[in-house]
Amino acid sequence: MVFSSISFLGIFLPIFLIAYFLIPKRGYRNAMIIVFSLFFYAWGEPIWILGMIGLTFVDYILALLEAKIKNEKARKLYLFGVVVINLLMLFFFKYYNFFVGNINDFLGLNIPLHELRMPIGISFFTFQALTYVVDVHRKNVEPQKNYFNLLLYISMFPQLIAGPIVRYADVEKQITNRKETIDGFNYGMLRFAIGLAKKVIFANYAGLIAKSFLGANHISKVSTAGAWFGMIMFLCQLYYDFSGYSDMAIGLGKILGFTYKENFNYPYIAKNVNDLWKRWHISLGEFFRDYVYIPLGGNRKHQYFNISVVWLLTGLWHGANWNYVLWGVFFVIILISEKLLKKINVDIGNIPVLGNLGLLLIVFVGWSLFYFEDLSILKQFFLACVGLTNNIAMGIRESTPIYQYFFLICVMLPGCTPLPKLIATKIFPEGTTRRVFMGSIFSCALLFVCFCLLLRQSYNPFMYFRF
Amino acid sequence: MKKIVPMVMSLLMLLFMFVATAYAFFDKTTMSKSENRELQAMPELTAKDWVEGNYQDKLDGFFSDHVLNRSKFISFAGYVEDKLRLPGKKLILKDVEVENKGNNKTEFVFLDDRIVPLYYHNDESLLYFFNSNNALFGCIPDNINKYYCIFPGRIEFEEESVRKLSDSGEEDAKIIYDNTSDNVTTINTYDAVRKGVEENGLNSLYFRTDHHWTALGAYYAANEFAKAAKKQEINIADYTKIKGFDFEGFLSVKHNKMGLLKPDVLYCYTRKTTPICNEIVRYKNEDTGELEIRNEKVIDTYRYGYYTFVERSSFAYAEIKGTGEDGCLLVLGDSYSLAFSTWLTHLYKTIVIVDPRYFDVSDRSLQQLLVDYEVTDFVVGIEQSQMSVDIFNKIIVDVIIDK
Repeated sequence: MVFSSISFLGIFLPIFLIAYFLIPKRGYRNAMIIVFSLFFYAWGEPIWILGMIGLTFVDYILALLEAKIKNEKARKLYLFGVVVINLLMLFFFKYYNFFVGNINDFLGLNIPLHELRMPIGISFFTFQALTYVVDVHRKNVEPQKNYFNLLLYISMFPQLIAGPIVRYADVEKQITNRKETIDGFNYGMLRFAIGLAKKVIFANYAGLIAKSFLGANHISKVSTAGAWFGMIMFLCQLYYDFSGYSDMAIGLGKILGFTYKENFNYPYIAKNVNDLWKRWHISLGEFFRDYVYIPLGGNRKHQYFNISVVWLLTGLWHGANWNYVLWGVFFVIILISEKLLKKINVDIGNIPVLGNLGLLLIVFVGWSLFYFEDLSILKQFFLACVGLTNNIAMGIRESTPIYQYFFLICVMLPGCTPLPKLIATKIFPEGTTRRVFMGSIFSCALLFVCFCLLLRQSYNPFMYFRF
Repeated sequence: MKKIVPMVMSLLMLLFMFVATAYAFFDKTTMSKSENRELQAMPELTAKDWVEGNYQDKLDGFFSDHVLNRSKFISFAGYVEDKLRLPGKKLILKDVEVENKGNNKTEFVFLDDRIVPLYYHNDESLLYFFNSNNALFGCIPDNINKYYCIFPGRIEFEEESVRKLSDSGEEDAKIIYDNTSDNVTTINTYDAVRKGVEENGLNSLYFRTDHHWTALGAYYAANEFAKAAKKQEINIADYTKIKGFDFEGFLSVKHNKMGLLKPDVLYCYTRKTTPICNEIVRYKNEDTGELEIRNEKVIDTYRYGYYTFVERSSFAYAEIKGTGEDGCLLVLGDSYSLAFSTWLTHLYKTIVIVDPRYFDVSDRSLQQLLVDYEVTDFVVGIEQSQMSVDIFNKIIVDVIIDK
C-alpha cells in the first residue's frame, strides 16, 4: 500500500485514526499501530512480512543476549556477527545477483542467480534494525525487553517503506511515553497534506515531464535544451518525491505523538557538496556517518579512504548497479576535492550565486548518473547536454510538456527553496491562531485536490521503494 | 476551542474521503459510460491472489472505480490540470495506447477548443496498406462492383498552422488510388468533403472532441460514392435533421480532458419519407465466444456519441435492412464507414458492414458473406490514418484474405 492511493486515504487512514484515538490506553494504542502497520506492509509484501517480523525477533533476542557478554573483544565479535545476520537478508535480495552476476561475467562462471523480488523497504527497516543493535552494543540504549515495542519501532507504517531512517535512540522513550496533542494533530495533518501534494502534484508531473524528454523512446532525439530541462525536472521529481514522503512520514508520526527528525532541509540551496549531504536524506547521511565513517576513523585517520568507503556504500545502498557505484565514485571525487581545496583556503561554496550554481551543476551530473542505469544511454545524454547532437533548441513537440504544465513548473522550481515557507510565515506568523486555521484550510484543500488527482492516476509507487 | 476547529476541519475532510471511498461497497454501477469500459468489480479474496498481489491491485482499482461522484472528482482533476497549462499554445500529445501500434506514430494536437489527430506518412506502412487492400480486391469476384473510399481526417481541412504539423493524407491517398487496378473505382472523397467544409464549417463535419466525422461529414463522402455507383444523388433536403445528446468524444476521454472542452453536439439525419432502418448486428460474446445477435435501429441517439450510427461497440458484422428496391452493398471498413453507411440505406435492399478488426471468420468467411447476401457492390471505406497504422491491414491479410 502507498500513501498516495485511494485505498490508503479513503479507507486505511480514516479507519486507523478512528481506531487509534478511540482507545485511551497507551498499550492498546501501540498494539493498534502494530496491527495496522503489519497489515499495511502485508498489503504489499504478504510473504516477506514474515522476514521483517523474523528479523525484528532475531534482533530482539540478540540484543538481550549481548547484555550477558562481559568481555569487550567478545562483544565486538558478537556485534560483528549480529550486523552480518542483519545484512544477510538485504544482501541476498538486493546484492546477490549483482555481485554473482559480475563474478560470472568476469570469471566465466555460471553460479545461479535467484529470481526473487526485493521486499519493499528492506533497505530502510534493515538499517533501522542496525541502529538498534549497534546502539545497544554502544550502550546508548537499553535492550528492549518488550518484543512488541521493538516491533512497533521497526514496523511503524509512517516510515516503514521509504524512511526516514529513524534511530531507535530517538524514539525509544516515545514508544511508551508520548502525548498526542491537538497542536500535534493539526501540524501533522498539514505536514502530511503538504507531503502528499509534493508527491501527487509536483513529483508525479515532474516525472512525466522528465520522462517525455529523457525516456527510452526519446533520448536519442532529445535536443540540448530538452536534455537540460528534462534533467532539471528529474531533479525536482527526486526532491519532491522523497521529501514529500518524508513529510508524510513525519506528519503521520506527529499525529500519533512521535517526533521524527527532519530528513530534508532545502538541499538545492546548499553551498557545496558537503553542505548538500547535510540537507539531503539527512537520516541516511547521519547513519553512514555514525555507523561507518566514525568507526572507521572519521577525519582522524585515513579520512579519504573512509569517505570513499562511505560513498561507495551510499551508492550501493541506492541500487545494485554500476551506475550507482559510479554515482558513489563521483561524489567521492567531489567531496575529496572540496576538502583538498579547503586546505588551501579555496571554498567555492562561499562565492555568492556562483557557488550555488556550481553545486547545482554537480547535482545535475550526479543525478544523471542516478537516472540512467544504462551507461550507454547516459553517454548519449551527456552528448546532448553539450550540444553534440542534431538539435539544440526544442521543437514544438518537445516543448509541449512545458506548455502543458507551465504554471506548475513556475511554482515547482521556487518550491525547492525556503521561499514559499518564508512568504507563508510573513503572511501568517508562527504561533498565531490564524496560521493554524489557514494551515488547516490549506491542508484540506490539498487533500481534496490530491484525492481527485489520484482518482485519475494509475498505480503510483514512490521512487524510493526500490531501495 | 480555537485549536479544535482546525482539527475538526481535518477530521471532516478525512470523513469525507472515507465516505466517498466506502461508497464503493454500495455502488452497483458496472460500466463507465464516458470511458466505455467495465468498472472493476469487488475482487474475490483467494490465498493465491493475495500472495501474488493481484487481490490488492484489484481492490485498489475497485475503490478508485466506485468512489462516490467519481466522474465529478475526475472532471475537477481535469480542470485543475487544465489550469496548469499555458493557454493558446498547441500541445502535441502522443497516443496513450501504443502497444499495438509497433513503430507507428500517432499523435494529437490539443488546442483550446479541440483535439485533432495528426497523420504521419510512413513508406513501409503505406506499401503494406496498398498491398493488403489490393490483395483484398483481388479476392472479390469480378461480377461485384468494387469501390475504394479513403476518407479524409479532420487534419486535412484544418487551418494552416495546425495542418503543417502533419503530413498529408490526401497525397498518400492519391498515391494509393493512382496505383489501384482499373477494375476498382476509386472515389475522391477529399474534394467532396472539402466542399462541405467550405459550405458548413469544419466543426459541422468533424467532431472536436472525437476522432470521427459527423453525419454531415459522412454525407459528402456518401454522396460522392452514390454518384460513382451510378445511383441517385443523395439530396440532404430529403432528410430531417435531429439533434441528439451532447457528448464528449473518444479523444477527450482518452486524454483525460473531460469537462475541459465544450462538448460536441450530435446531429443525425433521417429520411423524411421512410422510417429509420432496422438492422441485425452480430457480435462476439467475450465470455462465451459465441456469436450473438442484437436488433438495433441503424440510427439511435440513445447509443450515445458516435455510437448513434449503426452500433455501440465492436461487432463482427451488421446487416442493415435498406429501403432500396434491390442490390446489396458490402462495406468493409473502420468506424468511419458507420456514419457513411447510414446515408445509403435507401439505395440498397441490404447493406452489410464488416469491420475486419472484429470480424469472426469462424462463423462465415468474407467470401461466404458475399455469396449469402448476393452482394452486388463492394466498397472498402476507411479513414486515412489506416494508411499509416499496420494493425488494420495486418488483419485484412491474416483474417480476411487467408481464410
